[in-house]
Amino acid sequence: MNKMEIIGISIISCIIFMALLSFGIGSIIDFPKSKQYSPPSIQNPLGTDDLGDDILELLIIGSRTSLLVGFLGALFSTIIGTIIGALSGFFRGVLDDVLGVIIDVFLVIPALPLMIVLAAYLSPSFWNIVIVIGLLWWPTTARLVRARAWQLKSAPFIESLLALGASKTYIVFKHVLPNVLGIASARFILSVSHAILIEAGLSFIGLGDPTNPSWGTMLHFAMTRGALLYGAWWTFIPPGLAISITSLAFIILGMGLEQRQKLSTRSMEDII
Amino acid sequence: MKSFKKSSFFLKILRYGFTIFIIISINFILPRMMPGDPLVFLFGEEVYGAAIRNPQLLQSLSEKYGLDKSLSEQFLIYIGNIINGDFGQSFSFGRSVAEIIAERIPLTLMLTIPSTILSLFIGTLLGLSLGFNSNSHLKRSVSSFLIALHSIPSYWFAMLLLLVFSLWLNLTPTGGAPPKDANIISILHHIALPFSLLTILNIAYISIIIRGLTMEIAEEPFVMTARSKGLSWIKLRIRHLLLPSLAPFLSLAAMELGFAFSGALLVEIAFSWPGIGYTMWQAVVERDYPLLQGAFTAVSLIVVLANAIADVLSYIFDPRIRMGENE
Repeated sequence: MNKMEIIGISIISCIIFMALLSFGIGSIIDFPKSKQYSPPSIQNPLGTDDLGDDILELLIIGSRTSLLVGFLGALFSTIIGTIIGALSGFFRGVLDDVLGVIIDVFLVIPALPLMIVLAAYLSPSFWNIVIVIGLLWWPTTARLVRARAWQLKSAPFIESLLALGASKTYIVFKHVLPNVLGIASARFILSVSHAILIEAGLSFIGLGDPTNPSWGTMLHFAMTRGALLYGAWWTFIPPGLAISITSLAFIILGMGLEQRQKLSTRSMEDII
Repeated sequence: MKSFKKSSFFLKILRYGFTIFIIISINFILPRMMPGDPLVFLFGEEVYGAAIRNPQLLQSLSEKYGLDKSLSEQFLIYIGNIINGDFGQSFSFGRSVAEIIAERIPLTLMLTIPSTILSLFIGTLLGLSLGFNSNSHLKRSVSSFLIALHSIPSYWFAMLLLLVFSLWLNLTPTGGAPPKDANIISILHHIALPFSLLTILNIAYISIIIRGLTMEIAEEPFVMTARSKGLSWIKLRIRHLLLPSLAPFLSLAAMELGFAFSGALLVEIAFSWPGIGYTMWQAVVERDYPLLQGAFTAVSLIVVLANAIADVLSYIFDPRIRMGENE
């Protein structure tokens, strides 16, 4: 393990621990409420919001949704992107042309606005946000995997398999996919970081799941219920900080993984 | 042979036409695919409620959008409406969507275009310098910092700026656009925070990409030759690093405009800057689907257009693409 991987994993472990704590807290509704907008004190270490809810508790509960949506959204988008990329890169001809055009089209269409539109049509729920991210965040992964599959195609061991008469479908699933797993897993970790930011953005706009509040939901309420204008900084600094630190931890881990693979000097720009 | 290469360039442009077609199709399919009557999405709950009780109104609304016809006929009517600039009625504003969008696009452009130009300039210089001798301690930490900026949600950054500069220091307004008859001072006063934030984020994005391009080119043998010839720092960078990357730079500029647009959406919301992003937010809050789709179409068209222009420019400027060597 290199230094970046260690830093990334330790931060992520802390956040996961926090998310596990949330199961002990339960639901926010049945707490005894404190005074509204009380600044940080011994009783409420991070203060309270406009409803008198404890910010620290909201933060711990929010970590669960933010992490889970980020993880599942990234998982779906990586699976879709890897399969499309591997198929497109390995099969030249019509399939590659069609998939290539689809990848290009979805790389050009701005993702965030499209996600906002799709999420607005679907009812705001945990799984719908996961689906929106999964369906719309795969093109970059597909492009990277496609390039790698393209290289693999002319690798000697694949050529010998072809000469031996192995079917292309067999080669793709038995030999190409396992060989793009490295690039796909690094991509997955980076996608978690993106998915956490996207979930936060959608929730900030008001498209989050109301029954599963996340860190983005806290920022949404700070904005719409006037905590910002009230100057209650303790209501929005912690969730924003949590989003940034978590997203950064996944970026650091992803960069560490990419470094290990020595993919290319340009890997940094694929992160953003 | 040459005509074939030319045609592959036109295929690329054709692809943008196809992208626009996909965007319009998404807009068409979504309200019709979702469970429930598409009329709810097209006219809002209120009109729908009235229409349910008034069969005549229902009939006339259905006819206007051709909802009683087959899907393919509906699609033709839809495209016809869009070509005529009819994006439907916004039910929360009670006005035509096209009118609202036309009013608000200038506000977004006012923010994104100057910010893009400034950040392309600063970001390129920064990226060139970071990509050259990129292993120095300082340069590595600056690059890491720029990457770290990407994990900060822009709207949260905006809230922090508002807290410090508007609430605590009382230097800037807490958001909103300048009034219609505002003088230049008032405009600058209102635009200062959103503009600075957007520019910082854009610089971080551009410089990391330029850094990558520079690092790639800096490894090429001709750069070593140029350095051993004793070419000056500035000349080397401009002639050997910047010029070969002009074509990728142009497509970067276009991508960057797309990025700036998406980034501006959330920044606008936090600053209540009534551009396209803020409009999308208002549309989401009111569940005003025609307005939401209109705003989405406007943003996408601008991004597609910017990409197409970049392709044309790199075709003109880069002989490698013109001669088809790039493929």
